[in-house]
Amino acid sequence: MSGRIDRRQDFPLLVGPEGAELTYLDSAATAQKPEVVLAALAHYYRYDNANVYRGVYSLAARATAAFEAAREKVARFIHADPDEVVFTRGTTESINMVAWAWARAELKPGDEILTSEAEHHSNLVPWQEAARATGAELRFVPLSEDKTVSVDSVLGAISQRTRIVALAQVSNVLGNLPLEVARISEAAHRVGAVVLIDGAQSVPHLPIDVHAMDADFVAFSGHKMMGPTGIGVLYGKRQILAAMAPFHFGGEMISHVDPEVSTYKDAPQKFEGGTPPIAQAIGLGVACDYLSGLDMAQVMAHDRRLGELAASRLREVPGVHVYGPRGDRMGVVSFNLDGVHAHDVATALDQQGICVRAGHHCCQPLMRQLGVAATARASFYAYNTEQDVDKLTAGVLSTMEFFHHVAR
Amino acid sequence: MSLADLYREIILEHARHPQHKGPLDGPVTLQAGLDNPTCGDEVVVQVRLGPGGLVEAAKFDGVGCSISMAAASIMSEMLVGRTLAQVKELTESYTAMVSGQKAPTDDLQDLVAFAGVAQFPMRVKCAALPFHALQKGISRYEGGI
Repeated sequence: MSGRIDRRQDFPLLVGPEGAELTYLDSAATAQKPEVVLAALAHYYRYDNANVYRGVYSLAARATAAFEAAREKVARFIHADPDEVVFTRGTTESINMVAWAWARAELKPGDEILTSEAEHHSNLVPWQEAARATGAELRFVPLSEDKTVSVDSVLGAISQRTRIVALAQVSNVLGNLPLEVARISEAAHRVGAVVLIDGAQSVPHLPIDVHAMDADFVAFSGHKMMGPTGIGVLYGKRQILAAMAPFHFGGEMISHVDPEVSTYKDAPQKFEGGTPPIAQAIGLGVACDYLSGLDMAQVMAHDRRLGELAASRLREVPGVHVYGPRGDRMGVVSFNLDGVHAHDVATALDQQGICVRAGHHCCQPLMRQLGVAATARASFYAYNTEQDVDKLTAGVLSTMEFFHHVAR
Repeated sequence: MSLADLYREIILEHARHPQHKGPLDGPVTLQAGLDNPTCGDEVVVQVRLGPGGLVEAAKFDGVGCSISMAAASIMSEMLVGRTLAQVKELTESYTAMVSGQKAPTDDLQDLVAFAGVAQFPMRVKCAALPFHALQKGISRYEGGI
């Protein structure tokens, strides 16, 4: 497995006079889009645009076929069946759907929701609200020394009262290697709990087989995997989706409507009330095919190589702190410079054409665990190369120089 | 626009060695805290008015980037000896400058160093944060809250 991918030329934003100067290191926030995805969006609106399911004319049939073909592509990408793929607006809506439609029906006082303090707010706040609404209790997996979640500590924290385990497979701050979900699922299922995996940072970056993971729910976003914004996925096991009540009520999710009472379609349509993001779903399907063409095992090896290289280079710079695991990691590297606020680091790097994120990364409890107010974060994807790591390292060195020496 | 245009020496100096930082000892006439939830910056401003309605003491506390901390430091220095009307005038003049609506004027004194912020739209909030906290404290005080 070489893990060397150089596909920058496929991404219009990163070529051309301005783009060529750009070192884009914020793919954990959102990924750039390949030409094939942009072309698919334009093609849909130019030639196939109609509302799905409703029309009997052939244009509507074509739009519906393209939309359902996208569902099949996404299903293939995560090794699911198409009727287990619910289209949503993104990871946040996917998790909320479970926290409302599943949790509020299933949880009662005395039950436990197991999550961690390393989660993104989108996999924490919905559970706080679900706990408040049902009387269930929020429990947190003890974090390791590097503040990551380990499978062993999850297994130790699962109790007879646990009803749902909700964890990110890869942290958007720490860039840990993906959790072995199958082991968590096995232990959770033994006590009758379900497992929800926040896959926002894992599905775009590694081969995913939801059936092998045996998770009950997997949530992820299209825009972090080279697809458009406004589209995401909730994967759910067939029998759980069948038993779960809809979340959004309205058009196209019904089967029969009387003035007083209605019946609903089967999953996944019963969860997709209203006109869905059709073009976005089609774009996501094309992004899945593009990524499969790169080979997800290669994408993972590539991202890991750049993440590990960046982390070890930055660790060599005196006064730089790198968070997360030492050694093996994914392509997400959070760091701070002694005496320089992360926002000042990000502005200084921006002046050198380097885009990094700075702030709490929607992880305020984790920032407290790390003992910092904010961090800078570089994250890598298939269009990044070793040269980008070189630019980042040089940029960090000159930032350090500027704030500590030149302007003294 | 270079980095040195944004991070003028006086800004870096105040960020490194903030003045008037910490809680205000003695009576506090008005105070307010404000945070920027997108970046985690937090600032609290405390002011005591003395005889003649002049600011007798001003302090700030908080955590944040060098822009927000330096702005809080220089602001606290400049408040002393001014009436609330003058403080409000200064605040308006400054926020108009950092948001690019107005050229720097002499009355801003050391705060003129923040003129470059207008070229960095993502940092305008940082520069304005302590002044927005001050405005909040003043309107609470004047509203009798």
